[in-house]
Parts: sequence; structure tokens; C-alpha cells
Amino acid sequence: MEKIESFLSNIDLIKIRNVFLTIVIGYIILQAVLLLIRKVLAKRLSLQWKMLLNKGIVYAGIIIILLMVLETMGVSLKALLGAAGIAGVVIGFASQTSVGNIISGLFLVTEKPFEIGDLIKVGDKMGSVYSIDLLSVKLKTLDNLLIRIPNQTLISTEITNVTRFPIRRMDIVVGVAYKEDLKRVMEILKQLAVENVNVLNEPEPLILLKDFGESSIDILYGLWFEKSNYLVVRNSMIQAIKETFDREGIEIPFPHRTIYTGEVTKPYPVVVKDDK
Amino acid sequence: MWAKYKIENKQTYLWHIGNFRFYIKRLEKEFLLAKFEEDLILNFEHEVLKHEKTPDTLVWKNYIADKTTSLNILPALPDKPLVIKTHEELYILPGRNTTIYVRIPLSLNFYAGAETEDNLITSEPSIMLSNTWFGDPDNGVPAYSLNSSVLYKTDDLQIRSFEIICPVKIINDSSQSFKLERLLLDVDHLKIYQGKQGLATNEVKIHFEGENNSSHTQFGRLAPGFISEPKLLIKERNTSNSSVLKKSFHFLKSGISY
Repeated sequence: MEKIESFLSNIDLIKIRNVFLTIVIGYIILQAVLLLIRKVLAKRLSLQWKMLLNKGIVYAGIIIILLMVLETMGVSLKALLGAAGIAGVVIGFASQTSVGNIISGLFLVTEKPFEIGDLIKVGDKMGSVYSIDLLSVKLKTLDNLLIRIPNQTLISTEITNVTRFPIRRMDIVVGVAYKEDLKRVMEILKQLAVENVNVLNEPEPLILLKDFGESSIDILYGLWFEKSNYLVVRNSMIQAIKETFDREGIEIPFPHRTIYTGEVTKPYPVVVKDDK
Repeated sequence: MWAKYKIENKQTYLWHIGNFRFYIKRLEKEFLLAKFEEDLILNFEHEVLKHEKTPDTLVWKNYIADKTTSLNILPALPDKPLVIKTHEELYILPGRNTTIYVRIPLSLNFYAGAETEDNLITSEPSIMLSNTWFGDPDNGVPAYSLNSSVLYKTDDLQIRSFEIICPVKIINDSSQSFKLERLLLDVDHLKIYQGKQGLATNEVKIHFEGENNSSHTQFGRLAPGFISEPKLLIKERNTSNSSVLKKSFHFLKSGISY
């Protein structure tokens, strides 16, 4: 009972009230600053800068409130800062990678190779940019997985931004049999592009006789489309090519081998034996 | 055609214009709309379907509206700018000008009741237009493509039911001969007038000031002179007098093909 009484007599109600007020007022001021920044800079800054600025202000605000609370509680800040100096050296050694990531993040935001929502390819990973944080960039893959890539990795890796420009070219390699009339095939491909409303008339489709392949003559068929129409264009064009080639009797060959007897004109001798 | 139609409950109406048949059915507060693509017809047709069966392949879209029996149909211009290419090579010498007449396939705006924005059921094109791109791949604008839809004079002009004629005056203010390759028409500034001959828009004036300079576009405030008894049917979507599109002409650069 005595212990409880002594504990209660040691509680300074004024300090508690001051701590409570510091937290509440600090929180309100922090929210007001964030709101002001959002309103003033809403149109001037990109989404990445807004996100970084927001996080920077929140972290700085929390540290300031924490220091004020400690001061209110009577904790000596001088001693704390002295301890923080020693701790800073230790933490500094331990957090080299994190600092590297933060600096790389700033470079990424300044250079702007991508923005939130862009579809990017990093190494063998592809996904839309979900968030750009102090230490990493998070990608949402097309099959809805989240990938975290450290900023330091991104700054030293080749990045392909698939959706930076409003239109894209889809390259389809179409193989046709060696016997086919290539002029006719090219005309048909040209017509198919005209008939598909989602394929842009301009820039004009690219039809390039690319290679003498192993089993076919390969044609590079490049179709321009608005970036949001990727799936529609790919599905409809491959379907249209297959249907039209089938209807027109144009062969899409699969890999095959022809065995010669040594002379092109002579067939390979085959003898059919009747076992009966 | 451009009128208020009365559709009773459970009644189905059919409009045939351009490349499409539009079926509209009313069920209490709902309007159901379906379309069917088929061969182009030159004249507009419409009828109330009595006992005829609608095609099984129709895909109906339901629009919840008020319990109104009236359906308003009005013409509209396409929702994107148009790229016009002429089949013939057209050159305009320095200081000269010419007027071309562009046939624009119209869209139909269906309204449940009065023609206000919040009553708009849907906007449907009468002819499916091809998409295209005007300008460079990194900073151009999406547009629809119009091929061979240009006339050079209005004598014996037959305006078909699914089109609006837009007069475009091109003035060559540069010191070089100008070859018209492709022209971008910003339709947001065009008004639609109903004349005796059919539908037409206000005049567009485009000043060509050299290949490397932006062109200057102005939109007329009055009805075009080639239709008689014009009546303003639809106001422009954008009321400013000049176009926001920076370029009206685009020249293909050779050598960038792969």
C-alpha cells in the first residue's frame, strides 16, 4: 500500500498533461503542414516527389515531436545528443546500404525514368510501378505479385519503360512456307492491319521480309497501337492472321526436315513391303 | 431523324443509319440499347418493331433512366480529332488559298428525355472509324482517320444521312509551295447546322505558316454558305475561337522506317 502511495505521489500530473498536449498539438501541426504542402504543390510536383516529401515531413515531424516530449519529461537533450553522436557512428556503419538506397532514390526521382503506374521491365521482372519509397521501388507484376527492388539495384540496372510513350509497336513474326507468293502475303497483311480498328493507320504498319528461316520465310509484322490496347490488338491480329491464311490457303509451316537422296530432283526411294 | 421519339413500355424501336442498326427497347425506367453492324446504307430508316424478333446475337446494354417515354436523338461529332488525307496530291502556292469540304461520319447521341448532359444515354458512331496517330510517336495526338472524304466544290453536293460536311479553308501564308499531306481537324470547336440539304458545320480556317512553324486555326461563328435555311442544331463542345492543338499539318520524315 505504501509502495502504491509513493508511486502515485511521484507522478507529476502537470508533466503528463504537457506531454499529452505536445503530442496532440504536434500531431495537428504535422497534419496541417502536410495538407498545406499537398494543396500548394499538388500540381507542381510529380507523384514520386509528393510521396517522398510526404514521407520526409512525417519522419522529421515525428522526430521533432519525440524530442519535445522527452524535453517535457525532463530528459536532458544534451546527454541524449551525446549518446546519439556515439550511436550515430555505430548506426552509420550499420546503415551504409540504406543511405545508399536513399541517395539512389533521390537520383531516380530526379532522373524520372518512370512514374507511378508505368509498366517497367527490370532484368527478367516486369510490373507496374506501385510505389517509390525512400529505400526501394515496389512493382506489382501482371499476375498480382509485389516485388521490392532496392533503389541501389535500380540505379545500376537497365530499366525498360514499356508504357512511357502513348503509342507502341507490336512486332509479330509471321512465318510462311517457301512456296507462297510473298507479294500476295504482304498485301493480305497490309489489308488485315487496315481492317482492325485498334491498329493505328499511322505510323504505317511495318512489313519486312526478315529472314530465310529453317522452315519458313519470316516476315516481321510491326503494328502500331495505343498502349492501352495491347491485349485486344495482339489477340485480334493473331486470330485474324490465322483465319485469313487458312481461308486463302497460305501455309504457316512448322519446323520440318526434308531428306534428300543426294539430288534435289530425285525422291527418296521408299519400298512398301506387303507382309501378307 | 433528329427528333423526339415516343417509346412505350416494352416497345422496341429500330434505327438504321450508316453501318449500324440500333435497337432500343424501353422497360419501365430502363432503356436497353443494342447495335448490329452491317452494310452501309445511304438513307436513314427507322421503324417500331411490332412482332419481329430481334437478332439473337444482339448484346444489350441497360441504362437506368427516369420513367420517361421520350427518346431524343441528336447528331454529334466524333470524340477525337480527325486526320484527313487526300487521295489526290494537292499543292497550294504561296499566298493562295483553297477550301475543301470534309465528309465527317456523325455519331448519334441518345437522350432519355430532354437533351441535357445528365440525360445522355450513350453516344454511338454511325460508321466505325479507324484509329490513327497524328504527329511523332512520342508527342502526337490520338485521332480517327478519314480517307477519301474530301470534296473540292459544293455543286451538286449530296449530303448523306450519316455525314456532316465541314468546310476547311487552307491559307498558305508561307513563302513556299505547300503540299497537303495530312490535316488534323479539331472537331471540339465545331457547331452543327441543319440545312435543307443536310448537316454542316461552321467554317474552319487554317493558316499554314511554314513546315517548322505551328499553324494557326480559326473557327467561323456563322453557318456555312453552301446550305440553305441553316438552323443551329448543336453548339460546339469548346467555345474558344482557336484550337488547342498546336499542329494542324504533319509531314512524314523519310528514313525512319525500322
